Amino acid sequence: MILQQAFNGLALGMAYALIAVGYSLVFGILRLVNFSHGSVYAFGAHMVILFVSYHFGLAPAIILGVVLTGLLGILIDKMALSPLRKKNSPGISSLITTIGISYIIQNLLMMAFGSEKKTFPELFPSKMITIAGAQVSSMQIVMFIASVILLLVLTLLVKFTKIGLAMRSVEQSEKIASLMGINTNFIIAFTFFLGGASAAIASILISGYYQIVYPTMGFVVGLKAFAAAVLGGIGLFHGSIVGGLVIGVAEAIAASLFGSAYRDSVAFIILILVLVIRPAGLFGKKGIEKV
Amino acid sequence: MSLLKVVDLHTSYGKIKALRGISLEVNEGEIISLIGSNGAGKSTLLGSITGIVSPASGKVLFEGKDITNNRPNEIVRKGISISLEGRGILPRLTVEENLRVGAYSISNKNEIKAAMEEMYQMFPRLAQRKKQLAGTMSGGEQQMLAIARALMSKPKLLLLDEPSLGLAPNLVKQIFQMIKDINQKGISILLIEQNATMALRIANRAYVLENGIVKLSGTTEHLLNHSGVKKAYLGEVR
Repeated sequence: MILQQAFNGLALGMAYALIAVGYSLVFGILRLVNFSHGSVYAFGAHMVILFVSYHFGLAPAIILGVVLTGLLGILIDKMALSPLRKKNSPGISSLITTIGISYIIQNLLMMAFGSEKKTFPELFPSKMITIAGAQVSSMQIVMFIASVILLLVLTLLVKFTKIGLAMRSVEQSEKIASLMGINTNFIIAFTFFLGGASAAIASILISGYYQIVYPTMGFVVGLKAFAAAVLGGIGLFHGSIVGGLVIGVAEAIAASLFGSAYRDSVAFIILILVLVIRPAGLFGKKGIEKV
Repeated sequence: MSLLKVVDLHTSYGKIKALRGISLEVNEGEIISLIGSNGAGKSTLLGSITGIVSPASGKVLFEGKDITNNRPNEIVRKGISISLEGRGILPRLTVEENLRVGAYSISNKNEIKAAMEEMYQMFPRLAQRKKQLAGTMSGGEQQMLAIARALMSKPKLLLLDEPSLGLAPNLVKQIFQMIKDINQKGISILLIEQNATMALRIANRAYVLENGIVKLSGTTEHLLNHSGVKKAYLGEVR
């Protein structure tokens, strides 16, 4: 029973981690919590059902959906956030702006798609597999593995490539990075693209699992992924991954113990408990905040 | 001949006028010192040259081309590089990563490798600390890294912002010797310093900044013997 829920939680948790990394990427580089991320996530799944309805075929629809969601990330930055940075406006203005953008995207999705729940196509014919007495669907396994691969790719990108080095430089000081010849606007746009694209992939995986999409689908998931990012120590990749897994597993186990009506509060109960003991999150260090 | 030319530059922060019409020139192969007390406008001038702050009026010309209001990353590509004062290194990157960031504008990998080897020869201390996080090094080592990183982009003009700040006297001597060596390799230098004595000894010409204007300028011999400079910047003169 516990093992069954652990499997369910691991698959979901890995997808949360993928969304959480999007918060961490943007937070790392701009010290900004991007609350539009949940709606960006919802946008991804909706683009896929849009292209599928126009008979693009599932694979091209997924690719288009991921790319367009990444571009939406860039658009959000260029239209709303970058102008605020240019005017040196306080961080809270950007934060409020991201909340506003979140609702704008949600409402646009409602206008275009209607607010009712729609079925998301099955990504592939899913089968149930029995592992040590627990039932696991092949979709869950794919969700887990795909998330792990993507997180690995993102980590390698940030650690070992030239653009990753530029991202880490901008994270420490945008001014110094630009004085060293880095086009910081491009790096920030690229970071938003990565955040949006990874949210879209998570959205496709989770929607493929539940097979349901609706415009407000990103709200609770977005908050949980944010909780996961803070739980691990926001701005840290490995922190987001562990945070996502902890929340995914805890939620699955809580759902089976107390009923699924209570599953959503578990993420936040854990978050609060962890923050009381470690205010900077599981892996966060104090005092690395940019001044 | 003239590499960098600043013409009647005005820069303000809101209502505060930090630069009120500065003109200066750095010729090829020269070391030019810029001295002045805190708040004289030295850092604002550097910011205006490197594109960090945009001037209200006036011009910055590099190799005869107008680079006023270019973005900092474009200015690096044109051949101006800056070594920032104090903690201008990226503390959570290793020494080697900091050098790589310095070479960001260069795309040829062999060229980057060669430049890095050159820096390790010039600054053996950095070679020993390649994999160490830059923020964990001593002040002197960080200063060397800042200079080495600035050289990684193969600049024609090197801007040095307070390279001796907070360093022990023997280290200061070492740094100034390095500045001479770098200049010998054909890189022109604009040196901003509070240590006026050292700055005037090393330079060909110098400018004295006060309240956002050039108060005095000329050859260093002239300035070293100028009574006003002696009194205000050199302290006791032997």
